Parts: sequence; C-alpha cells; structure tokens
Amino acid sequence: MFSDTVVVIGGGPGGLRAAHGIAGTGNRAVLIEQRDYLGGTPVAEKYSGLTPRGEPAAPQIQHLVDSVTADPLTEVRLGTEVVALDGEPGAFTVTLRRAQGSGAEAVGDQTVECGAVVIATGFGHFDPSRATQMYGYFEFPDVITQAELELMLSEHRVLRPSNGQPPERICFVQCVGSRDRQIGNEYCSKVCCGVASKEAIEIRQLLPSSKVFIFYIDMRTYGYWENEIYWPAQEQHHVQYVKGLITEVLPKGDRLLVRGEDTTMGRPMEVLMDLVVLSVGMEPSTGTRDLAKLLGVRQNKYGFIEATGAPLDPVSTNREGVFACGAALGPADLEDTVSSAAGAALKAVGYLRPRPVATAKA
Amino acid sequence: MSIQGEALGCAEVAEGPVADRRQLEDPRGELLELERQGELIVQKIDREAIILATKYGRPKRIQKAHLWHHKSCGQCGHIPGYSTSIFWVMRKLGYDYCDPADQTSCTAWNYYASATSNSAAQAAVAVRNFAAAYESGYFPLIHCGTSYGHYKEVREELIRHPELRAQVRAIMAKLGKPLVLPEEIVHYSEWFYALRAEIAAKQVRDFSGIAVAVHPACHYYKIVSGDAIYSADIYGGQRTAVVTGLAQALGAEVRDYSTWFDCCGFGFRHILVQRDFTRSFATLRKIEVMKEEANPDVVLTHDTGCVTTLDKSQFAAQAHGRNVGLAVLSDAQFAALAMGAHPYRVCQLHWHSADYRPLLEKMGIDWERAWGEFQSDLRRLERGEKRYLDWDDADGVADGPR
Amino acid sequence: MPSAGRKVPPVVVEKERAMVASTISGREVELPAMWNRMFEPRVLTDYGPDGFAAISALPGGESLEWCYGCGKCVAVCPVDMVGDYGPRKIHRKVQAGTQLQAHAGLWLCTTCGNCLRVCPKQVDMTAVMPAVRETALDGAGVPAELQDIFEKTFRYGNALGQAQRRRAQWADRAGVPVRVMAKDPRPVDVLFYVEDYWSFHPRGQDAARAFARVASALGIDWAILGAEERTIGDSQRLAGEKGLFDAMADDVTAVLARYEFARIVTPDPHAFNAMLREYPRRGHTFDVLHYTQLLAPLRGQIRWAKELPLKVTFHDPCYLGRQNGEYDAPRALLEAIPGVELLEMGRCRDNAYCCGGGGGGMWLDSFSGDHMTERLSERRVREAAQTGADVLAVCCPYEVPRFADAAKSTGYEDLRVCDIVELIDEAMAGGAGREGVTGG
Repeated sequence: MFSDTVVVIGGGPGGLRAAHGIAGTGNRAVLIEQRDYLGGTPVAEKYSGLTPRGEPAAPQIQHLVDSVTADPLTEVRLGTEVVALDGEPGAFTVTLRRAQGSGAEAVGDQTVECGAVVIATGFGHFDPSRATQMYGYFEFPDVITQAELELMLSEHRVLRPSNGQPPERICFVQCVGSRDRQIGNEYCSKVCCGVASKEAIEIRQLLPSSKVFIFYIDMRTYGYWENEIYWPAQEQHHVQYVKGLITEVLPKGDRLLVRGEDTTMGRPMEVLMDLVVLSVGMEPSTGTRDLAKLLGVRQNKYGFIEATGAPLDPVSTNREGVFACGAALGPADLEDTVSSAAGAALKAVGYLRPRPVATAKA
Repeated sequence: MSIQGEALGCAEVAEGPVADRRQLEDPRGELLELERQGELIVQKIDREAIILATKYGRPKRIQKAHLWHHKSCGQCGHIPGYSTSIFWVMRKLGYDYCDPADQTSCTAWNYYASATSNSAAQAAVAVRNFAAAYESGYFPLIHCGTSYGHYKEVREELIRHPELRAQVRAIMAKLGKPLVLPEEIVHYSEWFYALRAEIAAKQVRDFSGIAVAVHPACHYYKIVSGDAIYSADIYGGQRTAVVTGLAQALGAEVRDYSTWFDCCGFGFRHILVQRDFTRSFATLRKIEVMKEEANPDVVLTHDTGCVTTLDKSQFAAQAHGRNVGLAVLSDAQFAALAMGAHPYRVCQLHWHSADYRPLLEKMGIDWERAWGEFQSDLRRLERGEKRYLDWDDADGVADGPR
Repeated sequence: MPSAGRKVPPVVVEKERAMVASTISGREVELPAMWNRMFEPRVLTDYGPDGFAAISALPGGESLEWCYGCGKCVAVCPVDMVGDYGPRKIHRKVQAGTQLQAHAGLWLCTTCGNCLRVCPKQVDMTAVMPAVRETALDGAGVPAELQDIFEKTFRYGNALGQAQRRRAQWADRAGVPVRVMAKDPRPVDVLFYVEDYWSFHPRGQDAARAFARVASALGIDWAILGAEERTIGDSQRLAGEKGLFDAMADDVTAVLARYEFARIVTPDPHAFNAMLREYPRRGHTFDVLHYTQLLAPLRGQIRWAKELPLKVTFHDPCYLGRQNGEYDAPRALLEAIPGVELLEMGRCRDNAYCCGGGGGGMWLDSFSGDHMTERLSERRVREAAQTGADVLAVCCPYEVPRFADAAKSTGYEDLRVCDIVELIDEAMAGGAGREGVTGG
C-alpha cells in the first residue's frame, strides 16, 4: 500500500506553494508550521511591498495561504514541530510535537504517515554583530537592518529610532554579512540589492524631501530587476548610487557619519546620515539547521541544505524521498522559492506511487 | 578558575557549522599547548589577578602585584612624566614591582618605522626581555602601546612558525636564556583599567568638571584585535574599554567624536620621513575634530607615540592658524593627578607642548606654586645637595606640611 | 579622480617661513617650510541629488543622472586619452557636489558623441553640456578665448572677426566663375553654403577654390550667398550660445527665404548638422547635403588627368560621420582618385577619434592646453602618421588648420593635410577646366 501524503515542513511561501502543488496533483499534503500562523518570513517581518514591482505583500501572501487552507486535500498543523523521521522512501513516519511557546495546550506526540517530505524551512538574517566592519548596530539606534525598515514601510512610517523624527538622509549599506570569507558567508545573498532599491523607492515616495543613498560593491539586480527596480530608482526616484562600500559608522553630533572610499573618485568619503540601513544577508534559519540534523540531511559548508543534484536538480537532498525548496537551500527570492517549491512538490509526489525498479546492469 | 571580572555583553554569535573564526583565537591556550609539547616555557600568572574580558569574550588575567616594568624608550626620553606616573600610582596602591636595569628597547621602531630588521631578530629581542622578566620572577607589564602591539604580533609569529621558534631558541641558547613567553601580554593601561576602582578610592582631586576625549592607540587594539579589553558597560562592548573606563571611574565626563577610530598620525614611519602627513592627520583629523565636536579639557591616550604625536604636532599647525591648542596627557598622568600627584615632580608636564595649564586650573591645581616648588628642587640639584630627585621628593616630603 | 592609475595627491599647504610662539612660554620659533608643511584633507563629505536636479531642469539635461557608472564612455572619450575626463566622471563629480557650471571640465567636451554611441543608459552629453554651458555664460567661468569668438560671431556674423563683405573674395582667384545670388538671383539647383573657414582661412580658401573648379568641371548649377552669408553657428550653439544660434537662424533663414534653390550643400559638417537637425525644429526644413554627398554620386563623371600615387588616410569628421551617419561618400571619392591607396586608421568610422574642434573646442586650444597633456588634434595626427600615409585627407573646414598645426607641433611635417576636394582638383587637371568633364 502506498502513501498518498507528502509532509511539507514549513509554512512560508515555499511550503505553501509546495503544499498547493501537491494538492493539485490530487494527493494529500500535511503542512507543518512551527508558528501559530502561515506565511513565513514575509508575514513575520511584515513585508511591505514585494520586489520588484512593490505591490503590497500581505494580500499576495494571504492569497497563497488561502489557496492552501481552502483546499480539502491539504491539512495544516500550526504550532507544531517535527521531532523525528523514520521509515523509508515511500513509507515514512513523521513524529510531531506541539512547538514550544505555541498557544495550544500540550498534547502527546503524534505521527503522520507519508511517502515523501519537503523541507521548506527558509532562512534567517545575518546577525550584524558578526560584521567585520564597524557598523555600530548595537551602539546606535539609527542603524537598522532591511527587515526593520520593511516593518516601518509596511506601517507607512519611517522614523529615526533615536528621536522619532522622519529622517532626511538615509543610506543603505550593501553586502553586510555576505560575500565575506572572514565571516564565512562567501556567497551573495542575491536579493538585497533589489530589496534595497525597492525600499529606497518606497522611502522616496513616503518622504519626498528625503535623500536616499545606496553604497555598494556592485548592483546585483538580476534579470528584470535591473530595469524594473534599479533604473526607476535612479532615474525617477533620484536614489543616489555610490560605488564604494561603507566600512564605518560613527557618531557626529546627533547624526551618524558613514565612512568609506569612493572608488570612482579615488578619495575617502565621510557623509552624514540620519538613518543607516544594513542590507544583511541570508543565512540558514534555526529551523533549517535543526531539521537538517534531525532528518540526517546533509548541509553545505554554510549550513544550508545541500542540493545534491544541483544545478539541474535543485531540490533533491542526500536522503531519498526528502526534498528541499526555497531559502532552506540557499539565498533565494520569492520567484526562486515558488519555482523550487513546485519542483520539490512534483518530485515528492513521485514517491506516492510504485516507483519503477531500476534494472540492474549486467 | 572562575571568572571574577566582567562578562562581555555582546550579542550571541549565531550558532552554525562555520564558527566565526575570530572566536577561536586563543593565544594563551596555544602557548600552553606549545609548552606541553616542550616547544617553549610559559611564564604563569600565579598571584592574585583580575580577570577582564577581551573583544570576543576570551578572559584575560591581569596580575595585580609583583610586576616587571617593561619601559618605553619614547616615554623615558621625551615624556618622562608618563613613566614616573605609572610607577608612582603603583607605589601609591602599594603593589611591589621590579624596575629592571637589564631591559632593552622592544625595537618595534626597527620593524614599524625603518624596516631594518627581520622577524628572528625582532622575536629574539622580545624573548630576551621576557626571559629577563621570567628569571626575575616578576611578571612583565608593557609601558608602551607600540611595544605591546609588536609583542602581540611576535607572539603570533612564534606560535605559527616552528622554524622561527627554532631560530630564536638558538639565539637564546647563545645568551644562556630559555625561549619563554608570558601567558598574557599585558599593557599598563589594562592594569590601570583593572585597578580603576582602587585608583578612584585614592582620588583626592575632583574631576567631575573635567571633560575628556579619549584617543585609543592603534597599536593597542587594532593589532591582534581580539586581544584587547572590552566591556559591555563601555560603548556597549563595541570599543575598547581601557582609558575610557579609567576616566569614567575618576568621575570625568568622556565625550565622543567622529574620528575616534582614526590613527593619531604617528603611523609606522610617517613621523620620521613624512612628518607633514603626521602633522596634518594629528591636527586636522584628531585635534580639530575633538575640539569642534567634543570641546574637551584634555585628550587622554595610552601610548607613547600617540601622546608624542597629538601633543607635539599642534605647534607647527599654529603656523596656518589651525584650531589647535588641546592638552594631551596619558591616562597614567591623569590618574596620578587625580590621586594628588605633583604636576611637575611626578607628571613632569613641563615636557608637554600644548598648554595644560587651563586643565590644571580646572583640576584645582595651583600650577604656579607647583612650578615654584619644582624650581626649588632644581636649585637643590644645581647646588649639589642631591644627584637626582627621589620618590620622597616626588611627594614633596621636604616641603613640609601643607 | 585617479589619473593614469594614480590617485590625485592632496593639496599642500606650506609657508616659506613662519614664526610660531609657544602658548606656554611665549617663546617664538622660526619654522621653515619643511616644518610647517601640511596637507589638506581629501575627504568627500556629501553626495546628493541636487546637482542632478538643477541640471535635469535644463532642457536636454535630464539624462546625466541616469549614468550607472559602467565606464564605457570613458574608454571612448577623446579627452580622457589626453586628460582625465568622461561622462561617468562628470556624473560622479556632480553627485559629489561639484558645480558643473563653475568647473573647468565643462568646457573640455567637444560634443563628439562617442560616449552616447556606447552608453547603455543613453546619457547624452551632446545635450547636457550645451545646456549647462548656456547657464554658465553670464558667469565668470566662460574661457576668454571662447567669449571672444561669441562676440565676433555676433558682431561680424563669422567666428573669425572678418568683414562680411570679404566673404566671396576667395572666389576671385578660383579660375572659374562663381555665381553670387545677390548679383544673379535666378533659381539655382545647389545653394553652396561656404561657411567661415572656407571663406576666410587661407587653407580653407584653397579648398573652396578647388571645389569651385570641380563643381564647374562637373557642370553643377551652383551659387553662393557671398556677403549675405552668415555663419550658422552650430559650434557656438554647442558651446552654450543657444540664444546666439537662434538669433542667427532667424537671420540665415530670412536670407534663404529670398532665393529659390533645390538643395543646400555645405563643406562644413557643423552647418550640415544644424540645417539637417536643428533647423527643422525651428520650422525650417531644407534638402541638405555635405559636399562629399553631392560629389560622390558624380565621381564616375570626373575625367582624370593624372594619377596621384599617394597613401591617403581619412579622418571622419564627428558631425558628418558618427553624428549623422555618413562614412561612405568621402571614401568613395578618395577611392575614385586614380593612384590613391586608402589606409584606414584604427579608430575610424563610428569610432573615429575627434580632432578636438567641435563643441567650441576649435576656439579653446589655450584653455584646454591647461587641462590636457596634448591636444586631441596632435594625438590624432600621430595616429594618422602611424598608418604610413603620405596624406591625411579631411572634409571638415576645422580640420585642415587643426591638423596642419598639429603635424608641425608633433614633428610630422611631412604629413600633408588637405581636403578631399583638393586632391580631386589636383588629379582632375592642373587647375581643372571644362576639359575635365565627360558628358554634358
């Protein structure tokens, strides 16, 4: 007897898309989410506008959530964690437990039988205290991260944490915690240039008299992000792009002095700012790390789940029947995430029917 | 040994398969491991010590008493009040020490300034001094920030390079000395910071009206940056705690300015062969910025080169009408003054270039009278009554009751 | 801006001698230069959109802020080869607070358009620079040499400050009759707009006479305006004097309106550019040709009297070639001359290296000398000489004087510089008469 169920771990955009895809093939999906709500990071961090076109995130994510919760073939378990995976591909047993701090009362462990598992546990942000440059994230209230800015933008109020006033001069510092051998995160986090440009546009719209700067190594706005975000940011919204990364943030009076080298001019630059936004990179989330160990799934040197069949199979892990998608695999934007989620879903449902036995070679 | 000192309050490092490399730096542990392998001897801290946290959390022991004073050539030569103040404070706190006659210059000048040396020679000079301390039984305390930074680098080179150790061992053998390194390389400002409460307890002058700008020495905290003292209470653990912590403990107001992390301008060889650069940097990047943004009564720093550069660059800048004229003192002289030291007999401020007299007035010191006392000391020497002034003279014992 | 790979060193401040007094003892000490020398800080302290906003407010200025710093423009900017220049650098300087109006670099651009050709963002310096220059004209920043030319143009109707009545004097020794419209106002096929340098400069006059003989030999029905002709002033426009250009356009078109002609032909690519692209915007459209475009289709009719066994290299004028797309007519003419071997320079056609005369550069040699290691024309002459050519052939009136001068100053005196039409004239006959023409 073969299972008709895939367990999807993680209720963010990746997990939702995977569950939706699984249900679309007429099979069952059980979606396990640690938090008490679905939507993942875009909801937890209150994404304001989606990159690149800036359309409001909440309704889009809600739509994705509804597509899962309204589907009779999907079952959602909120406030739940995976604690064990036993069995073999096609016939797994997943043990579940109420998550710590979950609102519901504690009950005993439960199990779910499934044919395959999709890991969609997403990413966490780089901790600015580990930066090798002196950004003063813990010293100065006006040094914030992109996520903290996103929260302000979703509330349509961008204010200096130090004095509650709207900032006049705002800058973004790219590549914080990415592309860095010393810290260990050698990779590019892929979305920060696009997100910074999008947020810059949003600030300019919210505060028309503000001056917004982005200090960068290169502007990595891939594909259509180039002409849909970078060019409008610069040409229509007058965001000032300066090639040269900020390495120090210092106090000057009640403002911040950011310091770097203007690589075009070949001279040092020291510019006053009211608000400094660190474009912190992606790292594996705690959930990704914990689950990898729990499920015996191999991680790459950065702690993300390793896609053993990359580049043409970006979703298989080293454990047969266990797949991964989205930012659990590495830096990913929403389009990457929903793409790989659909891919993982498809591979997963392949374990819900008899698999052709490989003919042994003579 | 349980940690009696302060905990470091920085945010926790995200746990992961790749640990932050800098967290792993443990020179003391590596020295002890080399000792276990028979590669060298480690001079232990075996008396009462205060434990302080370094940048990434590694605890560092600061031995309180029985210290071997590794003096600074630049201090002894140009800023004698700096050295005198260090000894004076230690005496006043009642800690015994050795003032060795067989200490040589660390010769960091050869490395940083003139590049006329090589790693084996530099390391051998360092180890010879450490051996002298070891043999005396007193634990080394480094007076100069540049010596300190240089010795930290030498330590790292010796830890990483067995061939260097072999070379130095051979050189030491010719001198009949062992290859020995102290388990911690301690700068005097770390000792002053560790004992700041005891210093403050003996404070007799009121510094609550004194505003201070701190200049931290590059050679102290940028070289082998993990091995420098940090505290959650000082700048949230984001900047080195020495000097600042001491000034605050003495009741002074420490004011911030935007070029805190800039070098004083001493540079490596700049002060020798590019002094126009040094002069520009010291006055335009440091002194003028401090005056404009912080307007302090004094600049405090903790290195020979920094005191020299910041104090003595201001004079030439006057030729261009620059906004200079800010007293520069070492933290040791500052602490000594707080504890009632004589500005001339002990702190020897007459060696300083930028005017310190308004600062003394703010401290409630009658510098004219003090100068008179010092002049009469000099006349006693001229008359041949004594060959040199001693510690009793420093405390004005001969002046009689005040 | 780093220049030649080296960062620009800081500005030194020093006094030969200075007396400084100790603030403690009052004692004075003499400090000679070495002991008081200091450096000014090099720090940039601001960036902002304001410079761009001011420039974008000028018609034609919007594109400067689009630059995203790829640097393709700098690689092809002729001024950067001899100085430290380029649209990318201008963009960053404006962003970092430089007032472009007050900046010497404003006047170095020749508007050659090579940057626009390669720019992925279509930053159009040929529109930006003239727009900013126009706003700088009432300030103190206009180089004196240029201001002088503006005044001459305004007062005399030509840039050379010559009396207008002498406009047609060159024709006296052409050896063939040259019709002047004022004297013979009948309709004509070709109204030949001679422009300033062919009218007044000795070497230009040589070319004008050669043209007269060639046109005559080909039986072309042509005439000139003579003393009624005013300069079109396109270079003055690009140097900032849009107002002057517009005023002159009114004068020019008023004169032209009195006559009937099928087309206007000019030897001057700048006049050609203006009549082709600027005049229609002001409501005046003519059928305009450069003289090479007139003659090239007729080259088969030329009767050659002798061979010119010469290696000839050709310099594409920016305002005929890159700006207006004509690369072939001049070459067709050169290749038609028997004996001529055409050698191309490395930078030719749409990547041709500017002679430095456009955009006002013709009249800024002194000024640019302070900002460049050598003149653009000198650099170009070297390139021409290195092809091994005997002759550097041109077809813009600026270039013969520029390149002849540069040939002398670079030590390539043997390189002959002449207009294409002079070569045609030479091969056609020693002073071609009617016998040089086949057919009627």
